[in-house]
Amino acid sequence: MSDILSILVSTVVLGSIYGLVALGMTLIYGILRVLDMSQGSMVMVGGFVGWAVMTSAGLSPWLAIVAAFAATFALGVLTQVVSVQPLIGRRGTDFEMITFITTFAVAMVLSNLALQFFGPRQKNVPELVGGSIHLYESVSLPYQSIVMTAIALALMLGFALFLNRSRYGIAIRAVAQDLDAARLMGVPIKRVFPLVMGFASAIAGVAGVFLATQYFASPTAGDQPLLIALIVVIFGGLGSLQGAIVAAYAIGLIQAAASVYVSTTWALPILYGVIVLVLIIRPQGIAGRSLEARL
Amino acid sequence: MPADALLEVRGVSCGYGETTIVRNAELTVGAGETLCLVGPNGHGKSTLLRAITGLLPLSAGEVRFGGERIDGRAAEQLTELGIVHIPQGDHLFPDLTVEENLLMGAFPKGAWKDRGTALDEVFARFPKLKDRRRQRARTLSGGERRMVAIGRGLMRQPRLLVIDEPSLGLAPVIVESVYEIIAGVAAQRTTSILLVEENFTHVEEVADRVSVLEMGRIVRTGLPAELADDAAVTQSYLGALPS
Repeated sequence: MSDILSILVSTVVLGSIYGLVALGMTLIYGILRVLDMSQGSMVMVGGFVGWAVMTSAGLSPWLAIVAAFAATFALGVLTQVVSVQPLIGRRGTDFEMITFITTFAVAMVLSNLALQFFGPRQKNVPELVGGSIHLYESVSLPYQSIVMTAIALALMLGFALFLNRSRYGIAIRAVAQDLDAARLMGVPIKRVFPLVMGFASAIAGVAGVFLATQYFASPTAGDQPLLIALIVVIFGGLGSLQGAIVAAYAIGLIQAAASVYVSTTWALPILYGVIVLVLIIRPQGIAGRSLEARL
Repeated sequence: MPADALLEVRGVSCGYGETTIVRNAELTVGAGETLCLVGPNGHGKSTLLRAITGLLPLSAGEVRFGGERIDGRAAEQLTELGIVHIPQGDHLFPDLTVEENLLMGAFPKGAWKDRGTALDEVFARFPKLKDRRRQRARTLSGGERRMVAIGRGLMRQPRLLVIDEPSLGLAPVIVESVYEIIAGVAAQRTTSILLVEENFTHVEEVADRVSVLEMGRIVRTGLPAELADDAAVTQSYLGALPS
């Protein structure tokens, strides 16, 4: 009983954080056909902004989340303008491959800048809120986890509503499905693309604050989230939003269950093993269609 | 030539990369007029339309809309002026619902606030689409898709409606109903229409004038009756003798 409870608690917390990072990557891949390798750096930058606001400046954690959102939004827009926009519509280039490399280059620059400014040492970031609810036997649920999950779910729900209901949201999905037709409808694609990357990066930035409170802020703090996000996105079916969110919680569950029933050392190898198995059986991922416009 | 030209295409050349497809094209569409562009397959009709509506850059010439030069402006800016292009093969958004596809037709700010009324009007024109409003576009039949494409074009009051082969790939009965709709819009005389069509029967139903495009050049412009009478033109450019 207590095993199952603690697995559930970690699944929800892990899944929500993974979901946030993967949501951004999915959005960017679905709309721009860019596998954005700078998303991990947005997590890292979000973590440092959180540290700077909470620890250095001693301000409220809520302000830290807002600041991380704003900073990574701006950085995401900048990354799009610098490393993706100039490559759109170029003849004779493999857009997906080139932008994979250019965004990876941005990631390298950002983590080295972080190393330069903040040094290699891991920085402790305080919890957003202290305290916990006692659930059962040794299992307790920290308020921190509730807050993070709530914010993550609110962000995911907010994005789903935005994409399904609003004028620009529908337009963003339209751009992903037929670029020329979207232009003929009057969708200003030059504005939509940076906007998408800005919002996606901002969500990753918020996830970065959450992760930093769980672990640390450091120049390499984005590496593992990037890997996990890539796995979630591919596992969910590249470009599928629902698939990514389902995959995020599925991966959270596998990781949590493996940690409890086997050991934390084996959690990641087991996770990767399961993913390889699933992808051999279903190469397009959980909700992916074979090579078509999705979202 | 109509006195009050809405669209003027002057000496336009365009193509893809190094390949020039359309050379020195000249045409005019008057306010409320319907001009039909005919000619054999692969001779540049769609390419010329793409250049006019800003999807393709010109290599020479100019395009004026209401007297104002519009060449060099991007497609997404031209929609603000009331130019609506219904492309060949519909180009629906396959995973958006019918209603969302139609709503995208009202994307420009001015049109968005009247989207409810516009949607009701389109549903009144195509009652079948109302039943299918929540269905994804990819699940529709060819005829239904064409209706969505045309309906999407009518979601904002267009000043110029550019339609590329609305009969392509449809069963004759459905082609009839598509042309009824186009004839209805043309008859209102508030919207100018530039129509590409290969089937001359339908051209005669709706066109005020006809231009023939062959090998990337406009070789003839005249009244539909004049062109229909010209057996040589009909045979070589349109591929069929009038019955």
